[in-house]
Parts: sequence; C-alpha cells; structure tokens
Amino acid sequence: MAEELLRGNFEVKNPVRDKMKAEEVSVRKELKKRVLASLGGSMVYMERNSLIWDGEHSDARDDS
Amino acid sequence: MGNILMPETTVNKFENIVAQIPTIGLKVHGERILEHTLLNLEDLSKTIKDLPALDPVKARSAIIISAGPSTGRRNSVRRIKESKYRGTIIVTDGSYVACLKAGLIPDFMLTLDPHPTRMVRWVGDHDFEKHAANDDYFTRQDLNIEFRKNSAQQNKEHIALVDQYGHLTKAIVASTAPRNLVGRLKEARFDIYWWNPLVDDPSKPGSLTRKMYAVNKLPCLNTGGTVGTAAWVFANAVLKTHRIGLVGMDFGYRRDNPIEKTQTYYELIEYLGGKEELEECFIEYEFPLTKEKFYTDPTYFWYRKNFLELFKQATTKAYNCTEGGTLIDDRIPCITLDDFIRTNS
Repeated sequence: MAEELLRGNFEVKNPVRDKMKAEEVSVRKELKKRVLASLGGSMVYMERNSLIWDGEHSDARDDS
Repeated sequence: MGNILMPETTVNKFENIVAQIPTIGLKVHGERILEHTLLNLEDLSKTIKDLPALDPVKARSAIIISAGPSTGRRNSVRRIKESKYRGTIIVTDGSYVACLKAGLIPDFMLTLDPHPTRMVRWVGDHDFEKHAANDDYFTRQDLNIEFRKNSAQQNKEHIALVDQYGHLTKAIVASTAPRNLVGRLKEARFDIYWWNPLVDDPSKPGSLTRKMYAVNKLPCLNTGGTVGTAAWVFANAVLKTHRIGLVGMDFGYRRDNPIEKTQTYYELIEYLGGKEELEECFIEYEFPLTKEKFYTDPTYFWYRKNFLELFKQATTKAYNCTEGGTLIDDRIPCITLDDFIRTNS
C-alpha cells in the first residue's frame, strides 16, 4: 500500500543504487568461496604429467 | 567408482559440490608456505635424492600406514609388528607414535601439513597446553581417535618415546613444515630428508612452487592434499618399491559414525545454508571384503579423487589393505593385510 502511494510522485536528483544488495551478494560469494576452500586443501596441484617436478631436469624430461 | 548406494540424482548434486572445491587455494596459506620454506633453509642438509638405496628385501615391498580410523580398529600396527614383516615401513606423521607404542619402528615418516601449532603434537609437543587451548582440531578429527583424548600426561609419554626412537627413522619432511615440528625432529635426532610439495603449476610465471624451488632446489612431489597420498607418491616415485600395501587409507567414515562428527559438518551447513539437503553431501559405499558400509563426505571424496587421479601415473603395484573405507577401485585390489604380508614375505 505504502509503495503504491509513494511510487513515482517525485523525481530524485541522483539515481538510487541498491548498494547494500550488491555488497551483501559479494560477501555471500566470498563466504561461499571460503567454505569451499575449507572443504578442500590449500596445497594441492593436480595437473602435472609426472609425480615429481625437479626444476630444469623435469622440464627437459617433459619436453622429450 | 565403487559401490555407491545413493540415487544418481544425489550423486550429481554431490559431485557438483566436489567440482567446486578449489584445487589451488593458496591465497590464504601462500605466505605461510613461503615463510616456512625460507625459515627452513638453514636446516636443509639432505634431500630425498640423497636417500641411500634400499636393500633388496626392503625394495621388494612396502606398507604405508596412514592414520585412518581402520588402522586402530583393525589392529593393523600390532599385526604388522607380530608378523615380523621385513619390507619397508612408511608411516604418516599421525600414525608414527601409534607404531612406536606397538614396538614397530618405521623406516620412514612423512610430514606435510604447515599448520604452525598442531602438527608438532604428532611427535610430542613441549607447548602442549598453550597449543591445545581454544583448538578442538584433535577432538573433532577422526584420523587417530586416540589423539581425541590426548592429555598432557600422554603428550609427555610421546615426547619420551619419540626422543628414544626418533634416530631410527628417516623423516621425509616437506619444506613447508612449521619450525616447531622441525625443532622436535632435530631434538629427537631423526635423520631428515627434505622435499617441496607441488602447490601450483611450476611452469606458470609467479608460481609459488617455482619460487620455493629457486631458493632451496628441493625436488617437488605431488601430494593430492593428504600426507597419506604423499606417502604413496614417495614410495612409488622415489623409493620405487615394487608392491605397496596401503593401510589406514579410509577416505571416509564407518556408517555408525554420526554425520555431526564428520570433519566439515559445520562448513557444509554453512555452504548449503541449512540442514535440509545435508544428507545429500554424503555417499555410502560397501566395502567388498567385509560387506560393511562406509560413507564419504565431499572433502574425503575430493582427496580420494585426487589419489585415484595421481594413481594413473603409478609405476608400481598397490593393494588396499585398509580392510575398510571407500578406496574401492579396480586398479587397487582390496586384500587383507595378512594376505599382503604373506605374499610379500
């Protein structure tokens, strides 16, 4: 009811931005990311073709 | 994929969560990892490349003892000790003291986790009271249930035991280990060999692994995120033992363990925004040898997935001698510990 009475009966100088909502979403996203990180590990890299990497020796072997 | 008992729709939801778990979450821990690596520089005298060759009997087979709940439940350590098994014994930090208590002296002990106050307890912590205050890690984690009731008195006994036998074991220590743990290993006269964990892609510019390698030149090992998996990588790729028996590699919980006591229970509630869909975060398996039921949560499933992914690169044979848990895969036959010992003696 209040919404109907107030809507559109004046012009605002600056556009209203829903700042709180955007901030809330970003906090929620960040929290979700943190929870996901805590479900897994922090020291895992899984993409190598070898179980060991030994600097330049490994690079040379990988290229062959 | 094992004997999943949940409906397919549930599995898809479950796997969605697992797929979102980041494999590289270095933002939080990156600084700590590098700091420990730099602090440990002064103690790097030997690397895993300096390990002496194993004698032929030890090279033939190895048993890796991880600290999963089956290790205690199946009395695995005592059975290994009583069998007079002559192959290589590799243990994770969390199962080391249990071995000493059973009179079993491991050949190798691996440690990986960089946590600054917790890890030192595995070898007896001089600052036990200070580190135990406001930290329920050992009471919540299920790996070594004995540590749930860890007391100051028990900690003192561990210090004495480790001081007495430490010099008989080679410690395979990640460069990211906290200084207090390194101090204890030195104090107990472990023979220390160092390595770097592969924490990101070393071929990428700005790679943390490459930075660590640049300062210490240590070989880098894949870990799959757990010290047990790192122990298998070590046995397979460094020691190259022909046959490897896995003990205490549960990657899950027994069915009678309440989900409230799983390691990421509260995190999962937070992630889901409530308890309504919580049961869909757990998948049940039937262990083929005993027909007992076990279940896994997204975290253990993720670690298990990492292990199986790394296992594609295996050059030696592995057998699951855990006698329970969720590591069920055609490439890793489930056999009893007694059978493994019998066929490798």
